[in-house]
Amino acid sequence: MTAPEEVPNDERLVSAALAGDDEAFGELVRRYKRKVFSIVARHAGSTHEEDDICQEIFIKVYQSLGKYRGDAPFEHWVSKIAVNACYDSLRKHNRREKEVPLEDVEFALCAPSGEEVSSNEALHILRRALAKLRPEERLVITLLNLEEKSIREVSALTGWSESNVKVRAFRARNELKKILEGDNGK
Amino acid sequence: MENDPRDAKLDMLFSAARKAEFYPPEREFGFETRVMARIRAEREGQKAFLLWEWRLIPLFVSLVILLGIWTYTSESRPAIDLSALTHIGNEEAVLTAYLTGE
Repeated sequence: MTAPEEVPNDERLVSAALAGDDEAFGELVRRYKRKVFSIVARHAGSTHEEDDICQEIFIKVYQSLGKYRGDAPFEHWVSKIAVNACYDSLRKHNRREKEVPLEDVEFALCAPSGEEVSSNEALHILRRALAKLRPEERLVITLLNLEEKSIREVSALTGWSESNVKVRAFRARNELKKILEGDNGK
Repeated sequence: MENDPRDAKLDMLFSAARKAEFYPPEREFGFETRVMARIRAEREGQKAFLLWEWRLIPLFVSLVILLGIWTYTSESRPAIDLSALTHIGNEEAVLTAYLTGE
């Protein structure tokens, strides 16, 4: 009977990738692609960009492997790179779609409280409303309310202080409420 | 803020959105192959650039030698026509001679 093959941990794969083993890096991509896809899908403005952003993230991970010290789990390190890449992408495009009609969004907060909104419909409404926010507001709302991160986690991922995260979250939430009510800029 | 009825509705919207499928799982298919192909392509591009860099070294060395020769030979020419200084008040001629190196 042969012994079961040992699954290499992330640190070992990182060392192997740094030594030029492409297979090891491929394994890291395989392990964390779902995590990166789920982060990017929540932040990216359009589905066309998602695959490109995910690829850019892993290329950045590959280029920065030498900087990984192993003091935090590899997953956290990759998540931080992914969140920063999403923020950069939001800032680069910074297309706050002010002219998008709000008819289907306005109902959200004005609808009777008993009315159920389907998950896909809710996501669609939120995506359209989030597109009207500033990049930093969009980032903080997505991390706190869609990814359910804590203030401390958002602070660690973005590099902003905890009080800064709180202030931005407060402003973003108020702005979002205005947008969903349909009185944004009116 | 706690009394704002809009907050409860907004939270309901977030709660519903969290259950949605953010991306179709088939998008992950072959992703690592695409990433590795891009990494290999970038690595090959860098190698090609470094090869060209080495090939250009003789060209730069010969350029430096030629510049050295040209500087050495041009130094033998008089920088200013000193005869222009003999004309008192002829500052324009001195300046032209200085600027043109004649």
